[in-house]
Order: sequence, then structure tokens, then C-alpha cells
Amino acid sequence: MLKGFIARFINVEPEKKILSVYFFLYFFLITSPFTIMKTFRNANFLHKLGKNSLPYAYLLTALIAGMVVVLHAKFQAKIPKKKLILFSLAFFSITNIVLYLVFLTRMKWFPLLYWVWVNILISVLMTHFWLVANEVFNPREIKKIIGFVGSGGILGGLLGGLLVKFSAGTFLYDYLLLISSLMLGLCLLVVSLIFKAQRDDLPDESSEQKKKDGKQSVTSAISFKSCMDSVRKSPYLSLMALIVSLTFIVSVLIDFQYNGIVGNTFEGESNLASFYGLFNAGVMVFAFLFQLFITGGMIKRLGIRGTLLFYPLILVFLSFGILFSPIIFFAIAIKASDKSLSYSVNQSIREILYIPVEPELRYRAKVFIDMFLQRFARGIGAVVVFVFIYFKIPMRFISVASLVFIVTWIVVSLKINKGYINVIKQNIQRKWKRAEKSVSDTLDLDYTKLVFDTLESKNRSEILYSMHVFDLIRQDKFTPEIEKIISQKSEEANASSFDALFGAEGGSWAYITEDKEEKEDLKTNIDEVMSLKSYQELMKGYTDKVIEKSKETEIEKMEIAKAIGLMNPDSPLVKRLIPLVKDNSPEISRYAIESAAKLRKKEFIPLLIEKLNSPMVMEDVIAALAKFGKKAVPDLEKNLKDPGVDIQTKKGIIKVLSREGNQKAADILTKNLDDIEEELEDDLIDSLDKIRSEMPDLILETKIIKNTVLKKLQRHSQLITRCIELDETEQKEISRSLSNLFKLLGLIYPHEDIMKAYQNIKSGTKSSTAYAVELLDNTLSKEFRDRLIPIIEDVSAAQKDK
Amino acid sequence: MEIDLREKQNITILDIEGEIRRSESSDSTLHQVVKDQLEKNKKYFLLNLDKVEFIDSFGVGEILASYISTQNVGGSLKLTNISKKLFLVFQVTMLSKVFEIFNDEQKALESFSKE
Repeated sequence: MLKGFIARFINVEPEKKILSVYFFLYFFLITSPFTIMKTFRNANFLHKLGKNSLPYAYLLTALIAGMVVVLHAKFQAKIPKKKLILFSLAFFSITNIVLYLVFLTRMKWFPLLYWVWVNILISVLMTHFWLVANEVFNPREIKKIIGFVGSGGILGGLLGGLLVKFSAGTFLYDYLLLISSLMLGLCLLVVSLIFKAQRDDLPDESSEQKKKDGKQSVTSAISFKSCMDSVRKSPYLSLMALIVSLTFIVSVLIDFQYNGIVGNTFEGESNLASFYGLFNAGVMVFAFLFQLFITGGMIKRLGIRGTLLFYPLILVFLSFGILFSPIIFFAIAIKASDKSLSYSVNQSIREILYIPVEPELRYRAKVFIDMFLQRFARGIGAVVVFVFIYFKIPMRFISVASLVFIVTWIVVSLKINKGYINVIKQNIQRKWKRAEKSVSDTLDLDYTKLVFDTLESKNRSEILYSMHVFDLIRQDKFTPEIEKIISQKSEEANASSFDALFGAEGGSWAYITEDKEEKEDLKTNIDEVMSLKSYQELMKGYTDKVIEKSKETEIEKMEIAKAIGLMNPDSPLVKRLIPLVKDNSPEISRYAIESAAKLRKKEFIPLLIEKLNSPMVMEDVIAALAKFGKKAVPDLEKNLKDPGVDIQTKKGIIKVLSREGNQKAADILTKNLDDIEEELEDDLIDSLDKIRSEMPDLILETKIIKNTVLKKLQRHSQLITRCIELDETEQKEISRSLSNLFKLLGLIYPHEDIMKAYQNIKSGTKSSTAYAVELLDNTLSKEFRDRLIPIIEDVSAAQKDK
Repeated sequence: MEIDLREKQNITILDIEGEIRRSESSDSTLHQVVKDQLEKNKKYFLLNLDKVEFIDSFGVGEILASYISTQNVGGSLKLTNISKKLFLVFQVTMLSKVFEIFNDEQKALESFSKE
């Protein structure tokens, strides 16, 4: 039962479970001493310097935070990250004891010094904590453990607060600072355990940086300026910095309003102290429960965008409340929301946003944003408060300023969601392209085929060879290089009649390769000759004689088939192609099919469609029909729907439509998605995927596709459930089904993203698989996300087990 | 274009000189010359294109028309000394399958005797 309870909150791989517990303790052991120090600090500051000095403390903290970032950057350049983190914990633990001794001397400016020091402590330790967490866990894991680990921090805060409350007035109170130092010492041990568990995985970036940069000065590479530049130059990190700044400015404004309303409501120091104690404990309990039971589920359900908007939207509502009715209810509600949500949802979502950022950049950004910018933003908040105090503007109107900042925060949150998806995409690479795309990217297929056919024809017949060369000339592809390749004499080649007539003085076509005018003359001359009535009459007689003859005239039939393709489409000889297309010899048929494609006469279309079920010429027919373009579409569509047409022909038709690759072809294929024969499903989906990959802007009938995806998802789930022990065939079936699912999703969502995700889920590393799932989580709509992601996580877990 | 006629072994040899093209203004075209000879009951022709500098599609048409006319009366027409360019045109258009083409006159004349 306990196991099940824990598993609910730490739903990660077994080896990461113990790490999650360490991180829970790590967080706990930071926030607990921090709360003790903070309470001590606040009481001491207010008692000694008064609340009116608070804005000075904020501003001084902002200033010192900048200096700390510079100092931290210098240490980071010299000390490996792991050592720096351990050193920081030891440093704060020891200096806390030293400061306690200073406190005993009752130095006048101690409260201010201690205020700033506590702020620096929490900035540095929290930054380090999340840096380590981000490196140990991937986005998927963080999402799963954030509720549990975050609750460790909140629980620490709660315990720290309760310790102060119940030790107040007892001898224990004097030792609280020493206890907090001890807690930091324990934290050091926990962090050592984390590093030990991750010894091989966690990179030592300081040394890696040195290796990468060679002679480059590491100090300059991670100075305060470089940290700031890293954020400034990255649009994504700039948006993050803006959100953090706005959050902390708003927080100061809320704090001021809350304290003002509480001060006006409760009279007397003991009443105030009692209220604050109860309030802080209540908020922490609420935050703890929220973090433990709601945050994780909320991120899962609302996604990054929904969760990002949740916090500011609540604040908008409550700010309006204070603006129109500045009563204690709204003051408590807004402060409780701000404090509890900033500890739970906001902290969690902010850390998730950091994860996909490249480690080195993330490190710099965190140093700048979390150590400096947070404090700096508080300073800006303090300045805004000063303005309101200076102009004596009623406190309720601070809500107007809050609302301006919150609305900006909402707008930026919407933008950063897009940025997050883009950064996730950058973390995964496309592993392969569609095979035919890779080939067509590097080869002009028609041209290559023509060159090969030319070479092949050389050994068959001089006339065929000449016709092929002329075809090359016609297409302006008869270059000297090609001439050189095709004029190489084959050993088997018989002495040509050209050689017999003119002697073997080089390639017969050599004279024409360089001279453009010669080429043009030749083209014109041949076209004109072929259009001559006398030529047509002569060739008609010859053709009829050859076609009537038996099998030994195969070469002649091939020559005629090729020649007709060179003629004008209106030539009466064109009709002679029909028996040649139908010829039983695949070679003759192939030549006739090619010529039919060149002439593009509509009457050939039904004939070619019929020929699709001849395996020997199927590919040639597909290529030929594709060249007809829109002309062939009505016949193709009619045949695809016709139940009387055989499967092989229909497969061919689908390939033709896929080869055509236009909107009309895609529409026909989509329409057939929901009632196509099962044997054709794979071909149909693959063809749509091919068209989509070539035309990303394609607009498809999404309703049909969505329905098909849902049906396929259901079938896939049944398949997985049915097959517990998978044999090879079942594995292939599941793999095929998953591939089809992704191809279909690629028709509705950005194709490149879906393919990236699929390829990384299928054969990516553990980390890239996690990013791929994260990308899907942020791309797919809820109806698909809820059904697909559990399946994928099962698949990737099974692959890892293997 | 100039056409000289001579006869050997009952075969009319047409020695053609110059350019056979449409723009050439000539009283008698090649086809006309052949038709005139056919009317004189000549049935066997050998076109000697040795001195032909240029021939366009019109010229080829003239040869084809002459060939058809000869065939229609049961005679035959053959070619000799044709240029490389014209041979390529004949190959691409498959006319080389229809016509008998020789590289020298003697062989061409001998071929007539074999018919």
C-alpha cells in the first residue's frame, strides 16, 4: 500500500526513484534552514530597523546580487560544478555560524547584513538545486516527480516555520541558527550521495568547457556579462527572464498591499504575530498539499501553457477584488495564492521551462535570472511602491499597477509556450528522411533513367540508341560528360552501321555536344521530318508490317514504340501505341508506356490503369500515369472506388496519386481513408505521408483523419493488450500500426515535428525519447495525447527493458 | 540545287549538288525530277548526295516523296554518300530502316543487281 502511495508520486524508473528521494531531502534541507533564518531575519530586522527600512533592504539585495553573480561566475570558472555546489553549502553553513557570533555582539547594521546574506544564500542554493535536478532528470521525469520533490521544499518550509513558532520563548530559540547550520551540513551529505549516484552521468562542465574552448579564457566566457548576454541573445531565455521579473515585481506589490491591509485590520503586536504565524503555517500546509496532490496532475492535464496561465489568472481575479473592495478577505486570498502558487506551480513550471535549454547556456541563464534578476525585480517592485507612497496614492490602486504587470506576464507566458516547444524540437533531430525523398534530393530520377536506358539501348539497336541520344538533346541534357559516358564502346557492341558508313572516327554524336546551334537545328529538323505527311505515310506502312510480325521483331517494335513517343501527339501513328502497350513483352510494353506518357493522350489512361496489375511494368505505368497529372485524376479516382478493380491495380493507383503529390491527389486519398480495403491501408497512409512530407502546407480534411486516428488508437491499444508475449509477427504488426498512427498524426499536426518525435521514440536515446514524448505532449490535442502518450511510454519502457 | 542525271546498268543516278531546302527557288524539285523519270519508265534510282552541302526537312520530304512514288510503281530508290548529319536524322526517325543507304556508289549499284 505504501509502495503504491509512493509510486503515485514518484512514477519514474526504479534507478531514479532513490534519486527522487535524495532530491526531496535536498530541497527539504535547503528550505527548512532558510525558513528558520528568514523568520529570525525578519523579526530581527523589523525589531531593530523598522518596516520602513524594508525597501532599502530590497534595493541593497538587488545590488549585492549583481556582485554575487560576478563572484559566482569567477568561482565557476575555476572550480568544477560539483565542488562549487558542495563548497557553497559548506560556506553558507559555516558563515551562518560566524554571523550568529556577530549577532551576539549586537552590531548596529547586523540586521541589514543578515537580511542580504539570507537572500544571497537562498538564491545560490536554490539555483544550484535546480541546476542539479535539471541535469539528473529529463523533462518527462521532472514532470512526474515535481510534485513529490517540490513538496519536500514546502515541507521543509513548514517544519522550519513550526520550529521557530514552538521554540519561541524557550532555550531552543537561541540555538535555531546553529540548528539551521547543521541542516545545511546534512544537506551537503545528501548532495554528495546524489553526485555519487550520478558520478558517471553528470558532466563536469568546468573541465568540459576548458576542453571545448581550448585557449579561450574561461573566466571571460562565464562572466556576469556573458551570463546576461546568454539571456539577452536567446529570445526564449529573454522571455523567461521577463516572466521571472514580472512575477517578482507583482509579488512585491502584492506583499505591500497585503501587509498594509493586515496592518489596518489587526491591532497590537501580539495579534499581528499570531495572525502571521497562523497564516504562514496555513499557506505552507496549503502549498504542500497543492504541490503533492495537484501540481503534477495539473501540469499533465493543462500542459505547459495552461499551467503557466493558471497562476497569473488567479492573481488577475484577486487584484480586481482588492481594487474594488480592499478587505482582508481579498488581501489574505491574494497573498496566500501568491505565496503558495509561487512555491508550488510557478516554481515547478519555471524549472520545467529550463530543462530543454542546453546545459551550459542553462547554467549561465540560471545564474543571471535566479541569482540576480529575481532580486533586481524585487528592487523594481520596491521602486514602484516608493512611487505610490511618495504620491500618496491610495493603496488599493496598486492593483492597477499589478494588473498591468500581470497582463504583460500573461502575454509573455503565451509566447514562451511556443518558445518551449521550439527549444524541445531543437533537442531532437530527424533521424532519417523518406527513402524516395533522399534519392530524389540527390538524383534527377528521370534523367538518370534516360542515361541508363541510353547505355542499355546501345547494345540493342543503333536506332534505339540514336533515339535515346536525341531524347537527351531534346531535354538539353546531352553534355560533353554524358557524351563521354555513353560513347564508351561496349565489348559486346557490334560494329555500327555508322562505323560502316563513316569509319570509326569517334562517337557519332560527338560533333553535336558543344554546339548549341547544331543541337537546335537537329531538334527542329527531326521534328519537322516527323511531321511530314510523306514520313507518316511511309512509317505507317513500316509500323503495320512490324506489328503484324511475330516475336522475332521485338527490337523493331521497341524502336517503333520509342519513335512514336518522339512524334507529334496528333500523328495518326500514335494509335499504333495501343497494341504495343498491350504487348506481352515487358520491354516493348515499357517503351510504349514511356511514349504514351510523353504524348499524354487521354485515351491512353484507361489502358495504362489496366496495365497497373502487371508486376513487370507496374513501376513504369505508375511513372507514366503520374506524368498525366490532373488529366488522369478522374479515372484514377473512379477505379480506386470501384469494388470490381483488383487490389494490385488499386495499390498502383495509390502510388500514382502519391507520385502526383498535389492537393487534389491528397484529397482523393483522404476521402478513401475511412472505407478503404484493409490491404490498402498501409499504402494509402504512406502515400498521404509522402505527399505531406513534400507539401507541408497541404490542407486536408481533418475530420476524416481524426476519426481514423481514434480508430487506429483503439485498435493499437487492443493489439498491445492482446499480445502479452509478442512473437515476431505481432511485434511487426504493432510497429506497423504505430508507424501508421504517427503518419496520420503528421497529416494534422506539423509533419516534421511528428516525424522527429516518432523517429526518436522508435530509435532514440533515453533522453531524446523523453524530449520526443514531451514534444508530443505539447503538440497533440487532449483527445490524442491522453490515448497516445501512455502507449508510447509503454513502448519506450519496453525497448529500454530489452 | 543542281541535279545531274546519268545512267549505269539501267539505274538512274541523280548527282545532287548544293542545298536542298525550301527557300531554294528552282524550277524542278527533286521529287519532280524523279517523277519525270518515272514517266519515262525509269524505275531504279540512286541518289548521290556527295555534293549536298545542306538539307533541311523539306529536302528530306523530297527524298521521301520520291521514294514513295518509286515504290508505287514497283521500283526502288537508294541513297549513297550521305552526310553524317543526315544519317543521324535518318536513324532517329527510323528512316534508315526504310531506306537502303550505301557509303559508295559501286556497292549501291551492286545491290540493285541482287534484287
